[in-house]
Amino acid sequence: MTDSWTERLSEYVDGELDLATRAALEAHLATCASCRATRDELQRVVDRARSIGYREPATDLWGAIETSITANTSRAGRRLVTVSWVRLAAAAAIVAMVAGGFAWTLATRRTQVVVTVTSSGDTLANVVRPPAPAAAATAVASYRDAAADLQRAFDAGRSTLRPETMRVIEENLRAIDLAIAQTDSALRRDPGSAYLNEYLAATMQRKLKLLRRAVEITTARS
Amino acid sequence: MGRPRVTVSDAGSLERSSSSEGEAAGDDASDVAAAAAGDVRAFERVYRRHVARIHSTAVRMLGQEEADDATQDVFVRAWQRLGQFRGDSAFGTWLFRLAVNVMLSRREVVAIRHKRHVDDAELVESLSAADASPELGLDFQAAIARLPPGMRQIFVLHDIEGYKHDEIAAMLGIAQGTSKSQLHRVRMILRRYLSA
Repeated sequence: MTDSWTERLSEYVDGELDLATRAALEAHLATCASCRATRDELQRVVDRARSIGYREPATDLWGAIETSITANTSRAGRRLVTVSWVRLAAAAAIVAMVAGGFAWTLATRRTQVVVTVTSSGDTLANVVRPPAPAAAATAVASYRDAAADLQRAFDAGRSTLRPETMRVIEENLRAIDLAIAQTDSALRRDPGSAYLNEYLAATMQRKLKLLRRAVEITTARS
Repeated sequence: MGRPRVTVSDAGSLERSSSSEGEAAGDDASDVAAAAAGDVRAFERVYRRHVARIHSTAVRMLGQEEADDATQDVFVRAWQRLGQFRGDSAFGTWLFRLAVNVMLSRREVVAIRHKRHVDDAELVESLSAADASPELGLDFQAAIARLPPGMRQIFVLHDIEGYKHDEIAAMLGIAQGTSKSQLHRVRMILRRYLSA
């Protein structure tokens, strides 16, 4: 059972009520067993929350962190390394199609890393040079050009697809476009986020992959 | 300001440590200064001192599967920003605030990736339904994990981390009244899981 005082019980437990309200509530508590029980339960929730401790991660994360910060602080120089590209801290990330696979350019604060996924699935990261100021914008433009080209090719062949296939592809494209737009919006608020940059790159890659597959289907049917 | 509890878990237990915050702060000061000068080993000591709190909070705010990546992101960002730490507050406080910001920035993307566009009210209803079904056996922490993200973040920040409503309101971009009413709502749900 609840009454008008029930909503104030958390504030009471937290000591946030002014003196007059607190006195009135305590007068009510003296006559209302239900509110007293609720107050006691809320206090137990607070006590339980305060007793919750912290747990070390199941796996030691330091190795990956050290790799990232070492990569960030290393001086630019030409070297070829094999890395998990998602671990690279990036200030900007874009996607471009290359023969046999995809390549991402991750422009970090001090280096520019070209990550290539070969047709065999290998991932190679090549630290090439300090980033050009306009590298990110240029690369995003390259992605948009590639996506637009694929979209035109897909549009040209869409009449060959069954309505159900068409619906699935278009729903996925809309979901990906939404994800790109929302991630881009989040990046405007937090432009240094490696995670957001990486996610944006992965999402762009997913869109190109989907478009390429859709074009392949239309081409096979035409 | 939240209460920075220095904690270390042992063998997976969830008991709080009684380590001295002052001692940790003293250790932090020298290690943070060294790390800011590029000493990676000093930064590793900072990491080991704080990782349990950061990771546990990431688990509670983002879920287990996002926690490792979020924790790595927090420490990489901290390393990049060490030069901005002026010592106006304890390093642990500065780091935790940075961590919360990183976690909040991930919320939207996490929701997109996992397609968790489920209405909060539905989740609350599901918890209430579960409450009426003891056989589901949800314990207190499992119930926290199932809270809608916004309510869970308020509960974690207020009742577990000790932040005030005005601080939470600023962090989440909500009104203080919303923070208070949501917290009360969460507690009214969780009280039913106390005995589990």
